[in-house]
Amino acid sequence: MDAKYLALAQMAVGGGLMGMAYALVAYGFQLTHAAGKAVNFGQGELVMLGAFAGISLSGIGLPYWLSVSGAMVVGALLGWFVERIAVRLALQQRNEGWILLTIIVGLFCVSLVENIWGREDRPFPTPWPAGALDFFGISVTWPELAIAAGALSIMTLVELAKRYTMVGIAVQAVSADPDAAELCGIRSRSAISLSWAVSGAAAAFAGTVIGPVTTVGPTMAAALTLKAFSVAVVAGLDSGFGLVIAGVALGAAENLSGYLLGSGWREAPGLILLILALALRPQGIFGKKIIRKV
Amino acid sequence: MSAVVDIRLREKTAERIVRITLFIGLALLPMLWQGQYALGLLTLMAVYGVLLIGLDATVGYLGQVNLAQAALFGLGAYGTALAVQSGASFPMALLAGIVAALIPGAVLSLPALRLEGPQFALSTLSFATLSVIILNESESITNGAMGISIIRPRLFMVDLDARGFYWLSLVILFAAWWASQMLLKSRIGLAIEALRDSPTATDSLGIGTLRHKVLAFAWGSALAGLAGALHAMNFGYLQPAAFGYDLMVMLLLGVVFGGRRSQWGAFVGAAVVAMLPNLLSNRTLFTGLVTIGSILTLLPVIRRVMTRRVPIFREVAPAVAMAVALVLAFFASNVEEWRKGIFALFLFSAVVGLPNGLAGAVTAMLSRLIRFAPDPLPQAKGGIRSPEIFAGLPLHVSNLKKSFGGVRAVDGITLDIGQGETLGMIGPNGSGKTTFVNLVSGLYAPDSGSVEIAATRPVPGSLMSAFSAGAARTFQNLQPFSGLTALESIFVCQRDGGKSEAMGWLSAVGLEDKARVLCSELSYGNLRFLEIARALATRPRLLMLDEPAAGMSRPDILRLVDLVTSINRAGVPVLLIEHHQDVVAELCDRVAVMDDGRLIALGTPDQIRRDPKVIEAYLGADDTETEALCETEGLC
Amino acid sequence: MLRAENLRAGYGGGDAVRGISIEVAEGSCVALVGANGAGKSTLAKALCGLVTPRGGKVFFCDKEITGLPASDVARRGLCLCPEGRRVFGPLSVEENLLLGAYPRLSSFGPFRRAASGDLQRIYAMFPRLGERRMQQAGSLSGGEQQMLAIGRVLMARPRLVVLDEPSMGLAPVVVKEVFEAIRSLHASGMTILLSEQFAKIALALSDHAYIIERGSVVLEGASKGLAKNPAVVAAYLG
Repeated sequence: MDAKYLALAQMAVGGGLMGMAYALVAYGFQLTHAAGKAVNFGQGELVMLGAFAGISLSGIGLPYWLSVSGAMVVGALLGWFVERIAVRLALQQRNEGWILLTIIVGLFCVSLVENIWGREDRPFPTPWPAGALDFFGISVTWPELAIAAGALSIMTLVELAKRYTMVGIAVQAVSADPDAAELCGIRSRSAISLSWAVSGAAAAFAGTVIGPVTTVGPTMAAALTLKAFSVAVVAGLDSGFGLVIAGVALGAAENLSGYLLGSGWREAPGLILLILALALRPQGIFGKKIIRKV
Repeated sequence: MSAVVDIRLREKTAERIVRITLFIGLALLPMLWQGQYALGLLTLMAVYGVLLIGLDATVGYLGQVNLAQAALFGLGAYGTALAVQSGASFPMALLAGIVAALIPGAVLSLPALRLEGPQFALSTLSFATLSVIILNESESITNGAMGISIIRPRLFMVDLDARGFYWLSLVILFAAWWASQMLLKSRIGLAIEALRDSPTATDSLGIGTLRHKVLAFAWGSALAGLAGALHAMNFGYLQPAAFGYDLMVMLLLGVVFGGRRSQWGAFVGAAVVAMLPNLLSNRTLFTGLVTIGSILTLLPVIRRVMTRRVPIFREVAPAVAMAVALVLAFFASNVEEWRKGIFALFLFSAVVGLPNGLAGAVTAMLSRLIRFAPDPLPQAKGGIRSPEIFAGLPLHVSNLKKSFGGVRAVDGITLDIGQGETLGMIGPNGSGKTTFVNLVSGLYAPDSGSVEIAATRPVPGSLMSAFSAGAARTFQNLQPFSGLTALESIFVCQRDGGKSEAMGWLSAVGLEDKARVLCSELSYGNLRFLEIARALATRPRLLMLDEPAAGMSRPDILRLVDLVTSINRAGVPVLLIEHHQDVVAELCDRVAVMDDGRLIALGTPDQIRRDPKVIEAYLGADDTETEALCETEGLC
Repeated sequence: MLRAENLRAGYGGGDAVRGISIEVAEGSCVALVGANGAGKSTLAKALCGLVTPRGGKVFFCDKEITGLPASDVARRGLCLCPEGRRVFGPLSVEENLLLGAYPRLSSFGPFRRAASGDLQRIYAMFPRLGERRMQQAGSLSGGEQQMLAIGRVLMARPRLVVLDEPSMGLAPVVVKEVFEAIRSLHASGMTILLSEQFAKIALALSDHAYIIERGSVVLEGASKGLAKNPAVVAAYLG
């Protein structure tokens, strides 16, 4: 194969694998949106805090798996916390204040990280071997593979839990009709809290798998929120696995444009696509049309 | 409640006096508070004031979280800078700044404003990020991250010094304030507020949701550009990074803290945003202010505890946030390191504890202390009139179908309404009556079949198109413009005439004494009458009333019957969806009966009353079968 | 068994329920009769905690339940089958039914087996639901959705069922089927509170009835008597 095309393919594959992480964070958006029609504009901050929590837990000598699990617990708690202090109140008042409140909580998280862990980027320690695998001339590193495998397995696990456990079915019921769910004895508030916790855990997990590839720093948050959001919106905030396609496509587009136009332009195509997608199909490419009721 | 002071002034006049005093005071301030530093702060405040008045058009009046204002500000600043570099004069440079923000803002608004809530916020956020990327990367034009420097051109041969520029900025701030107030208190502004409360209603009454949204956004963008232009001339040095996420958060803090939907709020917010970063560098002042803030947020909690009630989240949360800020103020080694965190805590307290901002809180307090003279009401003029003459049938529907999932809500309806006719539509709950109205008024697009209103065929699924054809409707679930008064709600819907005609429509439905009352404070029955007046004011060729009597008390129902009778006499064709059979019998020329999505009978009220199919539908089962059921129960 | 005292409730401005007192004895079937918009649904929702009452008290099995969240009320055995069916459209018929038994089932364990007895009972009662076990509830016809809604309530093994407008939007022949089901339910000893716009059939099914107009009880008494009361006949049975 032509060396130039090979380099492009290399870029696309690397970006696509990274895109799986965006899809995972976007999946968290889907979960909270399904449960309570709200999303966390500070989700990127949860990814970042998850990564830092993972670093600190490894720092005190915990093995990799335990520190990743620990980070997920931290993420779950934070997700729950955001719902409790920021989203619930504003949704009761039926205004858009919750968007501001989630941005605010995210801002506080950044400040917290800057003061606890400092402003510098840090590497994320992993047990993966250092080398790269070679597929037809395209090399893939172990941490990159870990992103894809981790993201897919988390999404699959949660989807299975939604279908085959009573709690999962109950959460789906709450997203379909919260009042009717209450009448079945389901506490819809708890179901919404649970969704936010799972969403937070997924974000934190994303942090622990992105960390080894990109390094971890307080500036990673804002861009991540936007990317994951783009993926969720393009795929549709209500629909399942379109996410993975949208995520991989965004990751690949990002890398390719960075390579072809210069690194500063990395994010531009994704953003333009997002605005176009919102303009042409607000419910997402894979989403269903919303019926207005009066 | 404390004593109320009656003053003879109207609120508007009083406000104007205070504003002019403020302007003069601010203009004189540099004489007292001297020095470059003070002048810089004051100029910055004026610039932010213009910017926030613009931001309030979207965040406050439109009720959408707009995250693009900081970027538009940047685009305006760069537009001016580039114009100055290529030798433009002062006014041309200002204009260049406005255009540089207005055009991208308008382009963004077209897709973005079809969106609501999180999607809108997201699209503006992407726009903002994209703008900063472009400013950073177009190095040949903007000099990239290195930044761009300009020298302020002369204004009509006058070389402005810092003080002169401050005065200029102040004049522009107050001009923007005045213009914004004129715009937002005009009919356009009322329309913008109305669409925030119910976009469905504004579209179906022909106010035009999209064009008013675009207008609000364009106005906000133009002010952002103007502010950017002033900023560029003030500082003379621009860098893309200055217009990023951090500035945006500061601007939101300004609008939310100052108070939404108020130019005063924007002004207060601007003062806060300009002063706050400098506040952090003065530790004593900062600590003092945080202490005061903590005490203020604690007061409601203490009041709750004193009366032995459990404090609610809305009161506790700001107190906790301020307490954290207090801890930081006293114990953090360097508060500037915690800048973002402290802003976040302030913002949190403001959003949760002061939902209407400082300006809103002060206004609420003042209105408890002072009673202003009310605005005089216009003389009522006009009233119910016949529609303009048009050819063809007011409504012609053929084989209309719509299903939701497995449920066929409307299943093949063919129906005409004649000139000047009042057609009643009855049927059990859930038989598809409201869905039928929704299809005719364009809220839903039918699966098949066609609708013709006054001999024109509107675009299926378009409320605006159905309205242009001549349809107007009321809603079974009320869609009031909660932020508007009764008079304003009519005025904004009205096709012709001014406030006097609006008053005329109000008195036609018997609400003339409620003209000044906010819709959110009107009773259920009165809101129903107001919706009818709203629809009438558009001079419809087909008026659709969806269960107007639902939830009304007996005297109100009698009032309604009288009203519909006079509408009928004026020759306005009416489709009346109703459950009360007696009301329908009294008012309607013909009655259509729906059941299970189908039209089962159509005729005069007398014919309908005797129709066996109707009796069956209304009693739920065929009479003989009911009898059988009764027998087994031992009833009959 | 269920007692409401001077209950007031509503949305927004005015009250839709303006001081209603009712009582439902164990094993009885009580009907709420009135036109659309009379306040029957708001009353049903206020009883079951879906709308927080603005005044008055609700007692269930001699314990006060005023203001409890709907999920807690349902867990005590007072179950509402809501107006407009409100089945969970995206979920399957069987999942809908399982959700009815949610408080009883373990979250992760073999919940399908634990509920299989109840499921069989419902499928025996409504064979068509059994045939469509795996179908999405949203794709069912209106009548089937109503059966499903009733089945879902019964899965909770309720002590009292509140049926809100079970005939709404259904074709006459389906309405008959639904009422047959309600009648056999009552015959099996279930306590029922039935809110219904079709007065004749409601009075035929119930032992006791309240006539509701504009948020207040205007008449009450044994259903047999009310069915012969000239005022009722004129207004509702015409």
